[in-house]
Amino acid sequence: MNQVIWVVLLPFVGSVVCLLAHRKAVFALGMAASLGTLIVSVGLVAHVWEHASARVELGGWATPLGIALHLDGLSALFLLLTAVVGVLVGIQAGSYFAQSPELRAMGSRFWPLWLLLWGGLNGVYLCSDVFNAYVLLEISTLAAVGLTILSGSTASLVAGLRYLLAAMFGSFMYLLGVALIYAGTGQLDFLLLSRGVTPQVHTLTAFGLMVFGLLIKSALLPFHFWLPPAHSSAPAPVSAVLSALVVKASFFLLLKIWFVVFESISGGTPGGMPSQLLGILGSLAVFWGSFQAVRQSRLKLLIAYSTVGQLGYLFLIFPILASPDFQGHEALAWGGTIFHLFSHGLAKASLFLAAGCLLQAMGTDDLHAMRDIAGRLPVITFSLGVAGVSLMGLPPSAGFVAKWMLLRAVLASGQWWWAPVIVLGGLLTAAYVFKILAHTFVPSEGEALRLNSVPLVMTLVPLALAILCVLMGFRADEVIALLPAVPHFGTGKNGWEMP
Amino acid sequence: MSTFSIYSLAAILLVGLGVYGLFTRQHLLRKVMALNVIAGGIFLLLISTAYRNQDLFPDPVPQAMVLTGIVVAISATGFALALVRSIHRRMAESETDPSQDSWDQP
Amino acid sequence: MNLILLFDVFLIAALLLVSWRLLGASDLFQATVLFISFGLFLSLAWIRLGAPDIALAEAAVGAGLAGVLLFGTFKGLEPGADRENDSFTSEPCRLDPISPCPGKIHLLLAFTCVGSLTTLLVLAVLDLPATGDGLTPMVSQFLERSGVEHPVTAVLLNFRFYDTWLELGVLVAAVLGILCVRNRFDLRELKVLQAPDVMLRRLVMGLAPTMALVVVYLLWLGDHAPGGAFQAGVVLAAMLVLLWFSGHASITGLSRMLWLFCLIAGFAVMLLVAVVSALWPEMRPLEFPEEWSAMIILGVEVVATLSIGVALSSLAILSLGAVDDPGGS
Repeated sequence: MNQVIWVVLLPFVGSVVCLLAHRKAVFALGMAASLGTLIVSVGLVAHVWEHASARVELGGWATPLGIALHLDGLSALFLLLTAVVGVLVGIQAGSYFAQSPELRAMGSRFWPLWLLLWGGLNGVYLCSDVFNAYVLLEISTLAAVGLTILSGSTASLVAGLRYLLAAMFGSFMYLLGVALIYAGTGQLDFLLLSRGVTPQVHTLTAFGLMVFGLLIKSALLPFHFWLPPAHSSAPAPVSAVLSALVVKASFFLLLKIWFVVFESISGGTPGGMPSQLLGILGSLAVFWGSFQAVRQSRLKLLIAYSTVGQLGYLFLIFPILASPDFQGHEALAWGGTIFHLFSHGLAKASLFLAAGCLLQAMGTDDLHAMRDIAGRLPVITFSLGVAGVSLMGLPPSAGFVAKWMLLRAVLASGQWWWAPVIVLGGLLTAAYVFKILAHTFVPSEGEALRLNSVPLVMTLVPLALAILCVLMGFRADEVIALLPAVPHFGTGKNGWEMP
Repeated sequence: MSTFSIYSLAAILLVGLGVYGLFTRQHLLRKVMALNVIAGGIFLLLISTAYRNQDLFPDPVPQAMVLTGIVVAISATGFALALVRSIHRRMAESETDPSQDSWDQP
Repeated sequence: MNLILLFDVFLIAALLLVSWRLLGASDLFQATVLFISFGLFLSLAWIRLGAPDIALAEAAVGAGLAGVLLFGTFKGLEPGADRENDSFTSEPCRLDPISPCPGKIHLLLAFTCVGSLTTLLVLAVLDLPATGDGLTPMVSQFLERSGVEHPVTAVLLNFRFYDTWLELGVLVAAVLGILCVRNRFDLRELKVLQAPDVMLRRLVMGLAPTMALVVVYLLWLGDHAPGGAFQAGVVLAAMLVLLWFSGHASITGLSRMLWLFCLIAGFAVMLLVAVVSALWPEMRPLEFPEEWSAMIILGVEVVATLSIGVALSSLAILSLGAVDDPGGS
């Protein structure tokens, strides 16, 4: 199973090569690394499908001493999402950064940082060591902040600094948890820790600190303040990556910490209260983020607030799984959450890229300036609409399947009080999606806004992402058939045995 | 009290001081310093953990973790300070020249 | 025994007092100076706790480099401020200048939150087992097979090679990020703030060979005693900054390509080790044959020293250098 390491190596090789290469060759080299990573990622998904999880001990040192990589269903799906979004965003970036000498200079900085980020994200999905996870999170954070400030505008610098300070604080809280857990157990590996932890004061504190740090990094409600400015002030391809992927890497680690490392604590009775709290914060995030999105008058900021709202749904998995499994709702909850993650990732990347096209065409992303856009830029408006439909959760999109599964999981777990959150959140989402679309159909008064031309590729990539998102919904049966396999060997004790 | 418990308690107090400083101080330079104090506290906790065992040598794994942590912390600190300085300069420029984009505009 | 306890109490009191003052002092210059002494006290603590590796690194990075960075930024924010100018009262540099200064309620809330967090942490620390080997037995068992004699180096460059490799990646990411702030990928036009003094030039010229020797010595030492790539890299960085500061040839004289090359060489060499080991049929990723490990580790260390030195000195020079226009457009 040595090929696992290639999803980390290939982006890093690409990053080094792009850094040293001539400006003209950067795009081709970056795309080559991206496509290679996509191929390896697909290969790994196939491997997991056929052979279940895999474990590689790096350097040949057995785990308490060395570091292991662990590939399971959950990691494979995250790798796939990252690779699909990554390749499409790369294509978009190719034509986005080719338009002017200034943008070309920006592009030559984009590729090394983005590939470094990609390698870091893939490393997080495979990681099986609490300290190693810290270093990987830092590499992703610093690369993500570097990408946020790529345009060099004052607004992006301020947003980037706020992001960096919040993320540093989050990482330090996580690291403090790591220090405590190592002092208590003398272990760093996920698997060995999951066997070694017992509910003691220091273990519970370490658990709380690690979760706290990761919540800041994944922008759950009271800690979301850094996200909207950072995601809205970055260049469009960067915003797409940040919203679709980067926050989810922290969420992935949170799932691992919660359900694997501290399985004995979060699974038992003491897990009831904290998981309900996460559910409540998630619900508040759904309402607050969506409400703020409705209030925004700038398109990119609206989409960024929508990310705050949509991330909230992910946290419902904690209370749902805290109640004992009566009717197989665990599989539904995992399926719904991962489906939501996928559909949000694809739809949000599509929305941000489409917004980038609009910004370029109109010179502003003010919603009120978007008059008669639907008639003049039909492809972009269509992508906005399709991605929006998926975000709202209307059938037949992937967003619908996700929310439907979550709803069934909520009802099956006997915690009906989360159901209104899912339904009302969908309504609020509909409100802001219609707000965007309504503005595009307003006929222009007087002379029409002069539109700059947008390269064809740039309009097609968001469309491809949006269509992919809907296709996932049409192919719901196949995907659902694949999903119950995820909890089976993805998390929980059975997936985490030594091979 | 053992050396370990003295130093680990001191480490915790450093973390507490740092977090308090981070939350209450407004100046960005001070926030960066506060983050470094938190990092110092965490490193002290790790090293006092390593000190507990004195048979052969102090546990090298936390020491390696701290060395890695120091590099990560200094990288992030340098990055943050470069941002602080750049933002400050832009702010000073926009004060003299109102056509520059405003400081807090998102 | 009691003397040592007394020393511990004094050291900890000093650490807490310094950090309290550096966060509380109204004078920012004073805070910067206190920050440097905080680093020095921490390195005393590392020596006391039997971690000379960390003490070396902390003295160089925590007290030296971080101090230089903070001082450089402070100078950049307030060019006129000096020791005499005690009242640093100009508009505070904040993320959100419109929001009011924290009121009593904010302070009280922060105090309550931090107080309960600290109490919880104190309880957690008191709950920790008073003895524990951690991974020491494992390390000593496999130390012979690691290719080096010093346990910390063995952990850094063999058992947890992956972490060290990624750590160099973090350093690269930070330097690339700073270059994004500056809007260019070149150091060449960076000028020193003031014209260097003749005495300083001569002094640095005399110091440079000694420092170069120290770098090599530390690097060689890492094999069997405290020291190694990281500590050597930090001394190299200090040397490069001093050379630049006194107007001698330094990394700012390198061409863009050469500089970039030095910057990523460490990360790239470890990447190369990873790629080769991943392609090798009977080898795990990042594994190297036992008989070669000493040589591979030494080679990686030499290159990593260069990269760490160049990266850290770039951080410092970028923060100290005269700001010429990166241009906001």
